[in-house]
Amino acid sequence: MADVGIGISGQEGRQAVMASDFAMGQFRFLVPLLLVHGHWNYQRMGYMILYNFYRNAVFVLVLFWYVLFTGFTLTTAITEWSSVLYSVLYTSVPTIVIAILDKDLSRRSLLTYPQLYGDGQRQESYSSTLFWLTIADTLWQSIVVFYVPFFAYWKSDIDGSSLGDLWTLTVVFLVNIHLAMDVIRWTWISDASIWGSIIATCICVIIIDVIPMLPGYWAIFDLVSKGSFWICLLGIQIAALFPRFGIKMFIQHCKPSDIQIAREADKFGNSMELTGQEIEMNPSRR
Amino acid sequence: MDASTRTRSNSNKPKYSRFTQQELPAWKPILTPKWVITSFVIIAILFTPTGLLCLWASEHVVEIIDRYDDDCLPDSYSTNPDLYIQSRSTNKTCVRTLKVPRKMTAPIFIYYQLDNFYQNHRRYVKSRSDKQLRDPDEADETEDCKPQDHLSGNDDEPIVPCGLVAWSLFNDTYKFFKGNKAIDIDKKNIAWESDKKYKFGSNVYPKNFQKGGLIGGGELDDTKPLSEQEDLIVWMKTAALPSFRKLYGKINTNLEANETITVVIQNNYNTYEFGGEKKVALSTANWIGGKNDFLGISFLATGGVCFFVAVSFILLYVLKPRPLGDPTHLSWNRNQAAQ
Repeated sequence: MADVGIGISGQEGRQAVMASDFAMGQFRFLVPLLLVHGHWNYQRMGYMILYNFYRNAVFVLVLFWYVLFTGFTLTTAITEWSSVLYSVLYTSVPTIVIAILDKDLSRRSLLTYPQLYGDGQRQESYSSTLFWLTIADTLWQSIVVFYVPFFAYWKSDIDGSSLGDLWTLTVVFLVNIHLAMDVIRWTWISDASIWGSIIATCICVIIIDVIPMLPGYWAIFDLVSKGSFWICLLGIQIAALFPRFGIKMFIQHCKPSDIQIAREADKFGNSMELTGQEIEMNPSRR
Repeated sequence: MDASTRTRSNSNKPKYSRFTQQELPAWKPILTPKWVITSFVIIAILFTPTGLLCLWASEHVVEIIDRYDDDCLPDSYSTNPDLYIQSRSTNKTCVRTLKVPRKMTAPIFIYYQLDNFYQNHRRYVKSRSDKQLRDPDEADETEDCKPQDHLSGNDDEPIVPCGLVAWSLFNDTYKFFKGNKAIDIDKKNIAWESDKKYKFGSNVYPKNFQKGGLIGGGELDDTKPLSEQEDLIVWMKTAALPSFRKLYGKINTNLEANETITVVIQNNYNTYEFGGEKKVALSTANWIGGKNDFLGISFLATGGVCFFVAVSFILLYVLKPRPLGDPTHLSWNRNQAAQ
């Protein structure tokens, strides 16, 4: 049972092309299609699915935690405009850019060591375990994002719009820095999209709070004059991300994947050949 | 057609660019053990003093909080507080004594604190009309304010300001005395400047306010425009959490340690019906705001945990080292070695 259909377009016509998922012009293109583009595609898709679940769930969970403290009525913690712009402007561009451009290994390594294709066959970029671990991490991060300002401002005179601005900025910073921690290959476009989104968010929050018709008028300017705002904003990023960082580094050290070793070999110049042994393709799992 | 002309004019090879061939120059960081340990140690080094600084700032804030709604209820009404609070003839005056624990330097902020009061309830938050507050011509914009939109049965008489938020205006009053001398309370500039200038019009006057059957809170002076009604403006900035305080006024003189302050309270506001609590609070303020130990403790905890994690990683890298890029860990080499 095949996973993907590939057709050749050529002198015999295009019937195979019409029936296939991918089409190419020469048989020799099959090797890079599979080993290079197939591998990159799998790794990008797997990561992007997990990241998108995380990005949306962390935002919604902050709104969920707030509902517990509004008498179970659906007052939104985050202003309506920011809620709309979250998916559209604050966090969408980095997601798309990293999903298209991020490469875990170079074309040369992938073609030289075809066994690296086994990473996809063993489901190392997306599996049920990875999904549930992502959800657990999302839960932790949403708890930190919500409860740190909650306890910091409990029994204070902060109003709904200011606390909402704090939550908005914190969540957007967090989600973008989380992505930045996972980017493998930093090009100028990745830099521009991630840091640019953060700057765009700050500008949008300021613009939203400068319109007198909206209920949160001037909230952000009152908020930035509080020292506790800056402390919360910066502290939450670290507290939310350090478990993920620690666990990732631990696994990277103790149970490195082939991709990780290949990346280190690429960067630090070791050869991946063990002398005196033959290399053969792994049989694929049934 | 001739093969050579075909390849020259009909080449399907796409134009080369570094972007389309995914060959943009890139930085490929790899986190080596050195970097991992360094980052955790830096976090520990940054967070621990910040936590201590926050705790120190919180310790420097002097705060006096006094809950008075339970003690200010006369014993004869203890089973029926609603009767007491809703009647106009009962005596609502209540005298409390506060002791200043440490020297409090001006400005000292006077707050009223309410607990279990959900100013963030969705229907409550929506029950107001910002258009009406800004502009006297928009007095009829009372859509969201039902049932506090018009005098009952009379659609021509809109209530200004309409809605539940304004209707439930807090109306306990406090007077402070040091011995026999009254302490001056500055009630100017307690609301946000931006609210006074842009959200509450200087030519909008209260109309038909609290004239209905059910009284929800305080009354307003009909001769003062809304932009000068600072208590109303402070109250209408709905609080984010169910336990909150709002600024009542400021004391611009110092209070010395161990002084006794007498507060004469008019216990008008009805929190008895829903189990709310009322407290009066005097507090100084610094860069961290009011008294709150949470930020300091959480920073210290995070710094401590990161230090512990850094030490564990050092142990891990020393006891179980793995050379970078070592091919013996590759899955196909491990299988070979096992065979």
